[in-house]
Amino acid sequence: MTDSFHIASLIVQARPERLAAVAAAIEALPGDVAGSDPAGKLVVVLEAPTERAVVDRIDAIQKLEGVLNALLVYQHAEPARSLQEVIQ
Amino acid sequence: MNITRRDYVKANAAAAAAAAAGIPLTAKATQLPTGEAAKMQWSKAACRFCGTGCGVMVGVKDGRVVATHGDQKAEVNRGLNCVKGYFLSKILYGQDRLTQPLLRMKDGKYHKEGEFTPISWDQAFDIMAEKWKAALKEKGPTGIGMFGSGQWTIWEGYAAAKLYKAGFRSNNIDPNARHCMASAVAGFMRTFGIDEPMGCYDDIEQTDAFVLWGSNMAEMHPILWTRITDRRLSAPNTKVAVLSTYEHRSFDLADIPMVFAPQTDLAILNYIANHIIQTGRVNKEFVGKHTTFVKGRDDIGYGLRPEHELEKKAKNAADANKSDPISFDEFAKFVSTYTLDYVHKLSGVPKNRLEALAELYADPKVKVVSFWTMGFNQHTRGVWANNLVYNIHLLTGKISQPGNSPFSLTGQPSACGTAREVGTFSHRLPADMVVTNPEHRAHTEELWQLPAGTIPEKPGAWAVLQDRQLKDGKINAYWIMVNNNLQAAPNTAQETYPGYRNPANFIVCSDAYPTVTAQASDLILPTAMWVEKEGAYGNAERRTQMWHQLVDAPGEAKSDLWQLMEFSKRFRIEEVWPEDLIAKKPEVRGKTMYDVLFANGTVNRYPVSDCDPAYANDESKHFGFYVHKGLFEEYAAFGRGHGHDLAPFDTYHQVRGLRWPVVEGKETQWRFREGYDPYVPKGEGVRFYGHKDGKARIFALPYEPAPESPDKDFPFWLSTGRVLEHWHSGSMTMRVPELYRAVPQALCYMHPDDAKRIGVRRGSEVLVQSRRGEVRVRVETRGRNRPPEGLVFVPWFDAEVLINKVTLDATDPISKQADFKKCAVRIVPVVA
Repeated sequence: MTDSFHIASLIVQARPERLAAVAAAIEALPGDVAGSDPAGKLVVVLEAPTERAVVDRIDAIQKLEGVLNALLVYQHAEPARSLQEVIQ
Repeated sequence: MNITRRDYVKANAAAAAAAAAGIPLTAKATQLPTGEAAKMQWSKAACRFCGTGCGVMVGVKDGRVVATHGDQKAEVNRGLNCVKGYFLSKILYGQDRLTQPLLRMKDGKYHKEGEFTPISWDQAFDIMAEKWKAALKEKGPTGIGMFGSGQWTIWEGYAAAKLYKAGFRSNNIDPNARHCMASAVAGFMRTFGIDEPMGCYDDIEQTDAFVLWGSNMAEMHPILWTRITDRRLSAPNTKVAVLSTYEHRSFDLADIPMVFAPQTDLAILNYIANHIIQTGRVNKEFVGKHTTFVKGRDDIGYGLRPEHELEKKAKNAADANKSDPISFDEFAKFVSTYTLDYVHKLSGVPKNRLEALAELYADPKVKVVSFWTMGFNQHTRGVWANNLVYNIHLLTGKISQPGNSPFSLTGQPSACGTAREVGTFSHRLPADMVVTNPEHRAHTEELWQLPAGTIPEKPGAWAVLQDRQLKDGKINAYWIMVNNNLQAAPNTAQETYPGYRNPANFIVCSDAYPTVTAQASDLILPTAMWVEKEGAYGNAERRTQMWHQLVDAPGEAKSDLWQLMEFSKRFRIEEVWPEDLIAKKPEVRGKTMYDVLFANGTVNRYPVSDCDPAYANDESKHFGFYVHKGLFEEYAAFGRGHGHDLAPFDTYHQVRGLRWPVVEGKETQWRFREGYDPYVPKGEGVRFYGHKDGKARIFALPYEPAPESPDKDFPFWLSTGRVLEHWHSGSMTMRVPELYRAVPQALCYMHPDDAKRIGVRRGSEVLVQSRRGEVRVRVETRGRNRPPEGLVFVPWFDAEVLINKVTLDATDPISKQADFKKCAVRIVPVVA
């Protein structure tokens, strides 16, 4: 799809002692950390103009020190224009 | 405040993940708008990929799938997806999607060496019918064939089996599950007399120990692996044992890691049985009441062509599946030679690890789940491996109860629900029945309203034999559906490709994409896939799941079901049945196969008005009745009351799947155990009712070597398999151009010392050569797979690296499944 926009959410399982550092590294990718559990889980939302960028970031997250697993929950791709529609 | 669709989608994405993780969102992420959100229609479906059977929610906007997420209501995956879930909405929209029939043509007509040319469906069926009729006329029903799939929906597989076995009266139909699950099926039938696991995924949260026998679940079944990881981390006494011929990602979680010499799993299994007996931990009450002992035939050959030296030498190749009763004492004596010393030397596994493994099974206080996939099944003694793992669960009574479970996993989404259950194997009929049994044929003919003697009694050609018969010109008209066999079959350059290009043969391939198989065919039929049609799959834990048609297929693409049923209209019954058969039911005279098989009063009994008006249903609209419901209900009649009960059709559109047998609206989690399984009579506790005597069989079977082992000329073992990112041959997952960047090409994983010895390094190009063929591939010495010295691993997803040119077409003589895990190769550096 050309001119499309890609949004994905993930659950990242990480070692509890590395959680803060992992969250900071994800924010720097960039990515949004939308929730966290001190036992070792983060809710992450990624958005990018290409699929490649999203997959590269998932890949980068998986390689961060302390990350045990990055599991996809949600993925969405839509023309960029329709995503700009005001709905409320 | 203005909220855009983008805000909405982001909030939705965060909410879905937070709910799946069970954690609250930060304040800024919780402002979820409502109302306008309904611009997208969300519906449930089962994932298109592996046999785990994850539930997904599919979001459709303007007739296009734009989003998916893990279904929180699905018990299997509880809102999660693996990375392949990222491909789900994209596999429909690859740039090279096939949208019209293509025939090889020269000068305006079919020519084996012609160029692929667009034609109409009418023209496609014309040439197909002509070729099928010619083959039937010249050779009879054995002159045609079909290779189907564990990715067929339930009704597609059922319709195909009926079309071939009853319509064409040919048992030459087999699914690609032959490459995948056949050894598991034969293992179940020999030990229990009934197919498929007794337990379910709920065993994961209730067990004390996991043993992986030849299964890399971390990459191949990531959602189940997440559940195992959660169990291991939340119950710290839980143990994980991982056995493989090379280290892979599942070893990261292993408490007892074991790399064993290829083929010696058989000896390890017998050692465990011996250990249980020697240490006095046989569950005598269970064994006495619920099992009997038998000795299987040994020296059964390797399923090669009959003129092969190894087949001529094999003593029991002709009756490989036979066995004779023995006593417990004889069994104990049989396994007594599998001592710790002997098996340690043979397998190369340290003694303390073998003992620790054996204790997981022997210790009556430890509940244990065994998981296996292709390491056991793709094995020239794969049926034996399945039988032997049941032995150790049966000797200890660790079976058919929560947390105690020998569990055969599957690789395809409906290897169980379709390929195995509806009878697509060349020797099977629906609900575990077989063509060789006269009662089974009679029962099937009765339910199908066919005259006695319609179904032939001789099993047809299985996958590898079909390829040989195509090459030898014995099968001349051949239909390949939902699989990429030219890439998947063993020894493909010598035994598969020649058959496809044999001038005597006409090869048809139905697919959504131009795979290597499609490109080697003569006619390509464009196929509607996944949510472009109403579908149903059955996963590895006996769970049947359904989905509606959510979007339209592109161009002229049609579902496999439409293709099968429409093709059946091209044959009058007199063209496929002999006069003496027609004489037994004269009213079929003059009718088409379609009339006799599908417009038979049963399949066509539900009107189109029964379809859910919220969804399209292309096939039902075309044929004028609710096709899916009619086929499902006719098929379900085979299993109801026979231990395979399915719920009423409409139920499955409401629920997130149900595990059969479903009796009085209730699914079954653990079979053969009173209190869980309604088929076990009250007071019996346990009954293995698949065998008439209600008992399971414990098999005495030896270790025997592989047909080909490394030697001076070919000093390495080759094992093949999958990687996380790509599913099977990559027909779907390789279609999303940006996405194969993560794993763009197959690599040859090898030990760094081996690389050094032959003078190559990471990234060097090498030739992997066997006695059959070679591929050119780059070396990886530091990747996710870490083979021991003397073994290399090459995955098979990459059409540019057709590793099956190298593999050997040896099969298990009982299951006829090929061994893709063992052959001998040499590694030759490519000089630049």
